[in-house]
Amino acid sequence: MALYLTLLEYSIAMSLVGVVAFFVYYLYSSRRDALAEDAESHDYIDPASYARDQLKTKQRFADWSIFLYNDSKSIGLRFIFTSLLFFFIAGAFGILLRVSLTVPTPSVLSPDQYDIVLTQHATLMLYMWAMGITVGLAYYLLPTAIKVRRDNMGSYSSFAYWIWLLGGIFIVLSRSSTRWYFYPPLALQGTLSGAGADNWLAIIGLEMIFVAIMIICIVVIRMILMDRSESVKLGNMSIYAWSVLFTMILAVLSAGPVMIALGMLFYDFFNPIFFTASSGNVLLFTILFWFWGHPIVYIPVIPFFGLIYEMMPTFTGNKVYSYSSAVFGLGLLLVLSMLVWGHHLMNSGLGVAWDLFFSTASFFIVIPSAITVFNYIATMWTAPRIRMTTPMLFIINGIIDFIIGGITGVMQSNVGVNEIVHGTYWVTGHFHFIFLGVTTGIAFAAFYVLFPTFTRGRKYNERLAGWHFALTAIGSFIMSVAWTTGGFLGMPRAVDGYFPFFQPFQDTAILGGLIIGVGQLIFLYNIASSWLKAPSTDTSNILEPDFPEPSGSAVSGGR
Amino acid sequence: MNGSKGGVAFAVIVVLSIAVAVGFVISPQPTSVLSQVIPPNPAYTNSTTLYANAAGWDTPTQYGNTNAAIPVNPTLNYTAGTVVTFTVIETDSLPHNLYIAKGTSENLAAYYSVIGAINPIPGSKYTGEWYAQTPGVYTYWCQVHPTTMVGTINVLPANSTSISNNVVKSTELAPVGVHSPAIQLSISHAVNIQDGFSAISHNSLVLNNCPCFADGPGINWIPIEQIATGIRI
Amino acid sequence: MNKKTKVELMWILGVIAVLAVSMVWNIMLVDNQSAEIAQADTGKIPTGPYVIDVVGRQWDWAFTNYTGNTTYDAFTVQVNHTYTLVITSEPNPGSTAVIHSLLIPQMGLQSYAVPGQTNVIQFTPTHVGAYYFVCVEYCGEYHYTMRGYMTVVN
Repeated sequence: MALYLTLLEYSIAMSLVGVVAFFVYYLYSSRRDALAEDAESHDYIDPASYARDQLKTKQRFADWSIFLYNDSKSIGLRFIFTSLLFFFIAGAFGILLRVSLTVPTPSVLSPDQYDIVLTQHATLMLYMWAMGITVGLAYYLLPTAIKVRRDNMGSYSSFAYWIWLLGGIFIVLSRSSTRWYFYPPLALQGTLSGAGADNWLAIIGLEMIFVAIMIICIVVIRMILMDRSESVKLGNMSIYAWSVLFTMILAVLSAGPVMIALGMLFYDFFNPIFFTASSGNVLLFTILFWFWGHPIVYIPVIPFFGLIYEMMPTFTGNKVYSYSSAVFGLGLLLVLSMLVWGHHLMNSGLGVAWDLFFSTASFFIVIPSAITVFNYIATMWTAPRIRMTTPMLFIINGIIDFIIGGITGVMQSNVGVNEIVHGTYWVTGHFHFIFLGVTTGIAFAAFYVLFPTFTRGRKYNERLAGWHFALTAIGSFIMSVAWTTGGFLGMPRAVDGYFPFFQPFQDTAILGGLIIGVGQLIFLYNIASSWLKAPSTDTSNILEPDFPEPSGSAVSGGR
Repeated sequence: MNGSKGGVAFAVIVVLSIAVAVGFVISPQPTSVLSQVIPPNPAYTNSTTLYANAAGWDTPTQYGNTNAAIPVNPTLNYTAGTVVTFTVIETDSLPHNLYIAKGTSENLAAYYSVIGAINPIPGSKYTGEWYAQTPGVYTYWCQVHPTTMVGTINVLPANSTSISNNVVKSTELAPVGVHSPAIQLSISHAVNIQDGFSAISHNSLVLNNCPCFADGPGINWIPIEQIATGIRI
Repeated sequence: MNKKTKVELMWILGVIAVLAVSMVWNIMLVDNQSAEIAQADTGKIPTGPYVIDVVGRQWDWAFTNYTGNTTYDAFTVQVNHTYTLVITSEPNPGSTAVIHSLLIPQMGLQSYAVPGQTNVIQFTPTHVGAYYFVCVEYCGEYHYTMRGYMTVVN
C-alpha cells in the first residue's frame, strides 16, 4: 500500500513540475516570438544578437528576464544570484558542521553525515560560490569596464551557466563524502563509510563545471583582448579587467590536468588501473589534482584584488597609488601560483628536494602579495579622507584578513612548520581568513555597491548592512583565530570527533561560526526588506561608469 | 519582476533551497548498486540458499530440513567484509522478493533490494549479492509477505580490534628495547560499541609499574602550554 | 627617479631581502635534518631494534616493533633513541587501502601513509611522557578515531 501511495505522490509531484515547466516554456516561447518580430523589423536575422546589441553596456536589473537574454550582463546577474544562493546553502552546511562539534564525540550529525556535509560545504563554496561570484562579477562589470564594441558568444555563456548549475546540482545529489580533494583510493570506495555510494556523480558534476569554466574563460579572454573598445588601450585598461584576464589565463593553463585526472578517475570506477597501488600510482592523482588545486584558490582571489583597486578610490577620494605595480603584482601572482602546487604534498614522501623547491617557490608568493597590500595601504595613506561606508569597511577588513591569512600561509610553506600544521585546522584557519575576508567580503562590498542598480534604484538599509559587516568580520576572525591556534597544537581537520583537550578551540570556533550565520541572516533580511521599498535613488553606481555609445557595433552574424 | 518582490522571492528561494539541500544531504543514503557490484577488497565470500515460502524463509542446508513447508526464518551470521551470494528458490506459486535493511525491523526508507521479484514458478532460482560491510544487526524480509517472511542477520566484526579500537590490552604492549622494564599500560574508559569509539579523556591514561614515575601511577601527559616546546624546525 | 618610484623600489627590495634570508635559513635547516622528513623508501627497508613498522588502515594505526608485537593506536618508545618509522597503508578486511597521514604534533613529525609506497622518517624523543598522535589525511567515516598516544619511557 505504501508503495502505491509513494508512486501516487511521485506522479502528482512530477505532473506539477511538468505543468510549471510548460507554463515557463510558454512564457519563454511567446516572448521569444515577440523579440523575433522586433528583431526582424530592425533588419536583424538573429533575435539573440538583436537583444544583445540592444542591451549591450546598458544597465541590467535583476528580474526574471535575465534568464531569457544572453547578453553579458544578464549572464553575470544569473551567476551572481545563483552563486549567492549556493553561498547560503553551503553556509548552512558550514553552520551544521560547527554545531555538530559541540562535544568531542559525534553528536548532531553521525560521522557519515558529517563527512557528506563537509564535502558539500567545501565543494559548493569553492566551485559554486567563489567561482560563481568571480565569473558573475566579471560578466557583469567587464562590458562597461572595457567598453565592449560587440557583446559576442552569448549563447556559449548561457550554455556555460546552465552546465555549471547542473554540475552543482549533481554534486549535491551525489552526497559524496571524499572532501573536495577526491583522493582516489578513497574516492573509489563506493560505500557509505568511504566516498559515498554515488561519488561518480560528483565527478561527472565536477567535470561539467570544468567544461563551463573553460567556456567562460575563452569567452571572457576574447572579450577583453578582441572586443575591447579602441579607446581602451591595454596600457590603461582598468586594473579589474587586468585581474580578470590574469585569472582566466590561470584557469585555462591549470584546469587541463585535473580534467584528465577526473576522467581517469571515472574510468577507475569500472576498471581500477590508474590510481590504485596494484597497477598504478596513488600519488599520481594528487599531483595532477594540485596542479589545479592550488591555482583554484587564487582564481577567486585575484579578481577581488582588482575589485578593491576599482572600489577603493571612490571612498578614499584619490587615485590608486601605483597602477603599474598593481598590474605587475597581479601578473606575478599568476606566474608564481602555477609553481607552488607541490607544497600540498610536502609530507607524502616525495622527498626533500621536492619539499625545498616548492617551499622556496611558496616564499616568492609573498612578493606580489606584499606589493598588492602595500599598494592598498599607500592608497589609503595618501587619501585626503576615507569615507567609512559599508563597502569600504568590507575592503579594509579584507585587507587585514588577507595580511593575517597571508602570514599564516607563508609560515606553513616552511618545511619544518608544514610538517606540524599540514592537515590540521591551521590550514583551515588560513584559507578561511582569505576566503571569508577577501573573496566573500569583497563580493559583499561589490554587492552593496551594485545593489541600487540590481534593484532599480533602491537603497539598502545602512544600519543592517553595518550589522552584517560587523558580525561577518568579527565572527570570521574569532572562528579563524581559534582554528589556527588549535591547528598549531595538532588539532586535525575534517573530523567529527576530537581529543577533549581541544574543546576550547572548537567551542570558540562554534561561537564564531554562529556569529557569521546570524550576520548572513541579517544580510538576507536586508536584501528582502530593502527591495520592498520604493525606489529612492538613481541606478548608477561607481563600478559601471557611463560612457557614450561606441559606434559601428553590430553583433557578428546579426545584421 | 518589475515590482518590489524580487528580494522576497530570492529570500524564499534561498530558504527553500537550504531546507531541501540540508534535508536531502543528511537523509539516510541507500546503498547504491555500484558499491554492491564492486565491493572493495572483499575479505570473505559466502553463499546462502533460502527457500521462499509465504509462511516463512527456510534454509535446508543449515537446519537439515528439506521440507519447505516448515518455516524457520533462520538467523544468519556473517563476518564483516563478506560478500554474500543469496540464492532464492521458489517453493509456492506466490511472488516474493528479498530486501535487507539495517536495524532490527523492516525499513522501507533505506533498504537494499537483493532480489527484486521472482517468477512464481516453483523451483525457479534467483541469485543476488549483498555486501555485509558494517557490523550490526540487519533485517531481511519479503515485502510481499512482510509479517511472516522476516528474519535477522548479524554482521559480526572482523576482528576485535576494529571495534574496541582504543583498548590496548596489556599483553599487546611489549617492552621496547632490551633494557626497558615491563610496563603495563591500562586505559580506563567505557567503550561505546555503537560508534566503535569513545573519547579518552586526557587524565585516563595511566602508567603502572613504571619506574620512570617515582610517585607511582599518575597523570602523565604533556600540558597544552608545553606543546610548543616539542616543535622541531 | 621620483619619490614614488623610490618608495616602490624600497618595498620590493625590502620584501625580497627578508624572503631571501628566510629562504636560505629554511634550506639550511631542512638539509641538516633531512632524515626527519618523510621520504619514499629507496629499496632497502631498515631493520633493527629501533625500527617500528606503522600501518595505517581504515580506521586504526598498527604499530609493530622488531619483536613482532603489534599494538593498535598506541605505541611505546624509549627516550633518547633515534627511531625510524616505516609507514605504509594497507586495507583492513572488507575495506580499502587509502591515504592516511600520521602526525605527532609535539614531535613535529608527519608522514603520509600511501598504499603501495613505504615512507621512512626518523625522530628522537627527548622527553619522557605521553604524546598524542592523529591522522590528518581524511580517510573515510571513522577518520577521527585514528588517534592515540605515543608513550616515551626511560
